[in-house]
Amino acid sequence: MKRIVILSLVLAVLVIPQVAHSGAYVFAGASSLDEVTHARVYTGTGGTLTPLSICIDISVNPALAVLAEGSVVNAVNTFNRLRSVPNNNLAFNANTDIPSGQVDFESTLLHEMGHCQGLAHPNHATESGIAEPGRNGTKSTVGTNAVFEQVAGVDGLHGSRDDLRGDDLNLHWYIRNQNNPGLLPAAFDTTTMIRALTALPGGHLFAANADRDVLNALGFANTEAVMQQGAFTREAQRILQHDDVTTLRLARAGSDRTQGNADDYTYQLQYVGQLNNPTSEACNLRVRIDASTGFAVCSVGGVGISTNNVRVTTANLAFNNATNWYFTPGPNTVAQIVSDGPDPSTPGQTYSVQVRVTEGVGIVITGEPRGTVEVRDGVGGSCTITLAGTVGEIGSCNLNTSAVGTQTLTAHYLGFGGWDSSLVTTSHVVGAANVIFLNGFE
Amino acid sequence: MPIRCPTSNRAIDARPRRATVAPLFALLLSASVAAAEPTPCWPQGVPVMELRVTPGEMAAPGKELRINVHDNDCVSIKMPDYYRRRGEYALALSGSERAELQSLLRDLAAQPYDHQLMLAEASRLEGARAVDQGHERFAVLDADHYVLTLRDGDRFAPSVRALAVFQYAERYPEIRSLDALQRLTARLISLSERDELSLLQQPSAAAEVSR
Repeated sequence: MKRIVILSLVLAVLVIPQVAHSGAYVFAGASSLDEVTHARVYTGTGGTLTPLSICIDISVNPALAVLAEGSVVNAVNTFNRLRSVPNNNLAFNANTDIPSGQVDFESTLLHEMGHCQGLAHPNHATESGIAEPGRNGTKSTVGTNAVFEQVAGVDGLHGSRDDLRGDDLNLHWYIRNQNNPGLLPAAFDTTTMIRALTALPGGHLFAANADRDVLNALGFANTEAVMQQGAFTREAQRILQHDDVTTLRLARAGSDRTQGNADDYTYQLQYVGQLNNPTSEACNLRVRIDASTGFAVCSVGGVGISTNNVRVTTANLAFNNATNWYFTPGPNTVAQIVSDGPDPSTPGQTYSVQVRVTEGVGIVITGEPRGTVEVRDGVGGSCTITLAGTVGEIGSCNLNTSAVGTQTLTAHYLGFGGWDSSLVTTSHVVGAANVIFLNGFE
Repeated sequence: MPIRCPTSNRAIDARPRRATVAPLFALLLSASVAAAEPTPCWPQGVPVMELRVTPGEMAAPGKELRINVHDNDCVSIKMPDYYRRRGEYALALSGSERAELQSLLRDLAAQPYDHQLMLAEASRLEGARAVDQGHERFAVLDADHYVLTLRDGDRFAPSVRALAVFQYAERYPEIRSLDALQRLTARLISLSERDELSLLQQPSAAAEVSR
């Protein structure tokens, strides 16, 4: 009996097959190269969709799970704002608020939440079976010879425009005639984006992906797509990179991949709290912290909604309960509108908005917050401040509008490296212009 | 000075064994002994069973969780540098734990796991479930890679390899081989979560260098 037991087990030999279900969108593959995967809330009809809910499942490890709440709220806000930075969305060690030896939960969560909305890795990643550094090559599927042909090319960088890829089939959407993952396209649809290699600029051999080394060579320092696979201790990546936003927004052009028509959609993520073993209807993205993974995974079910369009049906995120996570309590920066004057202003009068961004209480990061602050007046006006990162810095920019009334000014610090995005609002009054009559009366 | 397993006071299965079988799982396949409190131990000899878990998102040398069950009932557990309890630890199996592992191993042997066959069965199940919405697909991103290796002295038994065991098991509880692998894997991993692990080797500092 015992011998049977052992021999049976010994015979259970296997080799893990190459996984073909991943692409720049989760379910794209050899038989569906141009397939786009949409979030659960999209069924083919455009418009402002029902919010996509996310919760923390406290049926397992509740004491640990509740610590994740601040990170979940931050990540929800990050996806809802859908803003990206051109560079410096990565930071390491003392340039972050992450204590030594810890792994940033929010950065990992952001990556897994991207998967659970339909995004795959822009790079080969571990599912390809390719070892480092080759797995940084651009996401593709094997061609007729059934093997990946990943050669870095002259620049020695895997994932760049000169990779030699044999008959591999590209799965990564890139900007037509630019093939630069550090840029944003003018529109987010197939007029500007393409998956096939037919719109590469002259001399380019394959689609480039937003790998940190590739982007550095293109002039974008400390930058990488959040969806690029790979995490490290004491590394912060809580800000979306252009390629992340481009891929999300291409999906939101709807099933026809054309921006500006009826099947375009938008949706917001909504944190619905701590729930006990929720159904996927009650909680579309379930976050658990348990031993079902050695680090972090997202498992998704999906179903076709039309040709080359799939929607996620179930999405579960799991994070390892033994990992030395750093749980962010909230954004580590505080944006403040110091003044907006003159307030009230008159229609058409220029007024100045002064903004300061500081580290949150108890936060210690080398240097001072720097980067871009966008100021909007809620009626179509906007201006931009660039913070240089000097001590006590207050930046300013000017707005003016002809719209009379009380407006909501929003200053949105986009974040930089280890400094999180933060947002503040205040009101500003644009009053009717005073008209002085000849008799001295208004 | 490490503390050794109290092997001498352990009840040994007196039933006859086949010579080819005895070296492999000599202890795991013996009869259960009286339940005892877990005792610190020092792993001796080659492991008779090893589980390695390599995460997709944190895939690099030294980043895997490794759990070795030795033939003196001592379990050594190597936790990667990003765990709260990084380093190498040991734990003595109690008699009841040994018996439980033995039972789980038998279950898996009765339902040998093959990842490709599991995927085929999963696809068949999705087809059977499809009613209104059509055939669903399933994917696990950043899937963990599990390798379960059994050894017989110097002879390596072929390894059982699997991806995302727990995620597939949640989706396809009907697949018995997957369920058996999941239960054995879960039990082994649960050993690493015990409070009374004894430290064998000081942890190395977590690498804080990005590629």
